[in-house]
Amino acid sequence: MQIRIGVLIVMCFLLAGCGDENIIEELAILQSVSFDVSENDQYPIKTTVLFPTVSKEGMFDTKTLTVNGKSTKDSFFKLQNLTNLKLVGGQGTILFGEELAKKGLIHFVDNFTRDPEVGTRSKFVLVQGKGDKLLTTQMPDVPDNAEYLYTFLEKVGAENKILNTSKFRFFRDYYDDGIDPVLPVFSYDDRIIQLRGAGIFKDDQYVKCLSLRETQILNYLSGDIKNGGLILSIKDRESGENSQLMLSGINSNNDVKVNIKNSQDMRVELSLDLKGSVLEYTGTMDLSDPENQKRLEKQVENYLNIHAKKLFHKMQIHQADPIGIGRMIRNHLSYDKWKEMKWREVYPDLNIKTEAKVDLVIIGKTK
Amino acid sequence: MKERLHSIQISILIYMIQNQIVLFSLPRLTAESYGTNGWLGLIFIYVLVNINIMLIAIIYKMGKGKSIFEIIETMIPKWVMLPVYLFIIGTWIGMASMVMKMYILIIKMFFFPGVPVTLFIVLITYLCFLLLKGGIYHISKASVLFFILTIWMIFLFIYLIPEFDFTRFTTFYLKGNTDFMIGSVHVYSAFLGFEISILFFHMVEKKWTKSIFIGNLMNMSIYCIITFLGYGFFSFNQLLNDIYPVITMLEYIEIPFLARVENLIFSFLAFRVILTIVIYYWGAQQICRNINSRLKPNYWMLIILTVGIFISLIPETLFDVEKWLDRISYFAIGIAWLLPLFVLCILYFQNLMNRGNSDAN
Repeated sequence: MQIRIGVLIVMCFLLAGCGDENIIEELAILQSVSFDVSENDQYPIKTTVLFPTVSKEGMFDTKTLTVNGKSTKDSFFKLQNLTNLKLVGGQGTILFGEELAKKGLIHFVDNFTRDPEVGTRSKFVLVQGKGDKLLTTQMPDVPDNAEYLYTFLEKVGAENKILNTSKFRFFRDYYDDGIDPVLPVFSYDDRIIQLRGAGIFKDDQYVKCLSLRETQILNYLSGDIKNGGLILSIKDRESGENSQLMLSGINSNNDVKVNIKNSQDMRVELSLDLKGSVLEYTGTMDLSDPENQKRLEKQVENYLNIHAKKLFHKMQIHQADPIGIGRMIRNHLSYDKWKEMKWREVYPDLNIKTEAKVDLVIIGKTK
Repeated sequence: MKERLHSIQISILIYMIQNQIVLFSLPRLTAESYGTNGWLGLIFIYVLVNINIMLIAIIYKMGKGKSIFEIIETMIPKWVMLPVYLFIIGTWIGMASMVMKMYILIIKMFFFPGVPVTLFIVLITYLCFLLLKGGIYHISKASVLFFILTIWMIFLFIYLIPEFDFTRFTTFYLKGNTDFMIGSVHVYSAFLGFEISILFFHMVEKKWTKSIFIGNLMNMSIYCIITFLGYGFFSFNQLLNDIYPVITMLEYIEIPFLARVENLIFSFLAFRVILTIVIYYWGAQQICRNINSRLKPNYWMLIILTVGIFISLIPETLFDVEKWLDRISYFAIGIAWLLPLFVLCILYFQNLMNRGNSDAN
């Protein structure tokens, strides 16, 4: 009897959720939320939410609501008054308009860490232009903007380690010394949503959108990659014209060497060991010839070295360190020296060199 | 013959009763207390706890298995000891009720914002009542079952390894804004619960004291694994900023068929938290029975549980509960050290007197 009562009580305890009822038909489960700068000075944050709805006939649709508020919580309070459904957060996508991101996000997104409803894996995205426009614009090729964006981000995250971002990763890199966060940047027009590249940050301020070519190099510089891809254009030796080369199945290893003589003389050498297969080559070289293969490998190495140098230069100008060079330097210094050093001032003049080594493992089915 | 606690049961019981509610914030507490690579501070606390356990083991050996009440009351009358006993009872009931309240408030914040706190308090207290009714033997048997129900969860942390990076550990050791003294007390409170074993003396098989060390080692291993993982998972300042980093870690775990596993795990952790609560209530009940053995044990239990419910209703916010728990932990740590030392002193004087008597004869 005692055991039965005990089991009953344990069940009651585990079923305590029934005390906090959430009937799915009565919920507005937020798929996407966008934040932008509003035109109203008194209510500077424009919040747009998108959630799915199901009619009594079982028809699926999405609904968007927009308000201007003083803070994110103020906006959510106002949004609750615009619908008969209960607004609840989830593992959705959170979009930030370009203008807002340039002002700095941390005070603003700090609210999200406080709210347990917003999952740690919620995706953060930057939008060129206005975030709410991306959510609300009806596009003939996109049936559900939020769902489309979410699956797009999943795909991009799987292909590019650097673009696999979430709320947790954003905060982790923001709070760490010597690394800055990165977020994917999307743009939109009347027809389609597209990825523009990686948005790099200086602390919590968005400073620059890297092109897709730069983003793929950043991806290889930021860590070891398994089964990656790379598209590059190289100058053909015979015709002198640019030819396209596409590598796939790339496994790369990344090693950073830090040489510190004193706080003025620091060198960072990033060696990149890349092994991949040729999937497409539009040049004139016969790749079955080992000599040509070596030549092509050299060309790819040169491409990577030159473009990595340009990329570092760009990031140094904007004082953004998405690779985490600062962390490498920090881990080679004593605590006092690191604290004394003004990393943001040192970083733009830092001597960073990339040394790529490329091996083309397979050259494809044809010569 | 009266049933006695087996040494494996004691190890598991000790492991299960140690204060798990602190685990949720342990990586942050070590970071706040010891700075960068603060997980190393756990080793220091572990050594201290082992010394504390050693004191209990010495009492058992010197007292030849006599209960501490027998040892104390051969020299000091019960009425003199009464205020001390009442203080210990108060501290242990306070500890149990604050651990209960804190668990409830966390579960309310994360998962059941609409469920009234009193409902949880009543349910947990009733579960405690059922366990306490069976006595320590039933509690220890339940702890083995709860152990099997909860130990698998540690393997879920494997899913965090892809996010783990040694670079985040930094090469700095114990640097930053550290608070060694107060911080150590907080970290020490994560190990509390073992001190109740001072009341086990007449209920155990011989050579049981090594089981306390083993139980504590098991707990330390879990604490170490989770805290170490935390330092590679979070960046240092992020760790300082997260009140319950272990919940964030659990939240991040995603299995192909399951996301946000912290909901599930937190419900399972109720078993561990309940055992911590139960053992403190049980300890208080043992002392009450020593004060007045004429009153039936079940009546004592009802009085203790009722007092526990009332105490848990006093602080309302999580901040207040943390403050109360901190204060009560200070007292509990004081009891964990001073009670064995006090009993050891008595044993020492008894030995001296016995030697004196035998010399005189």
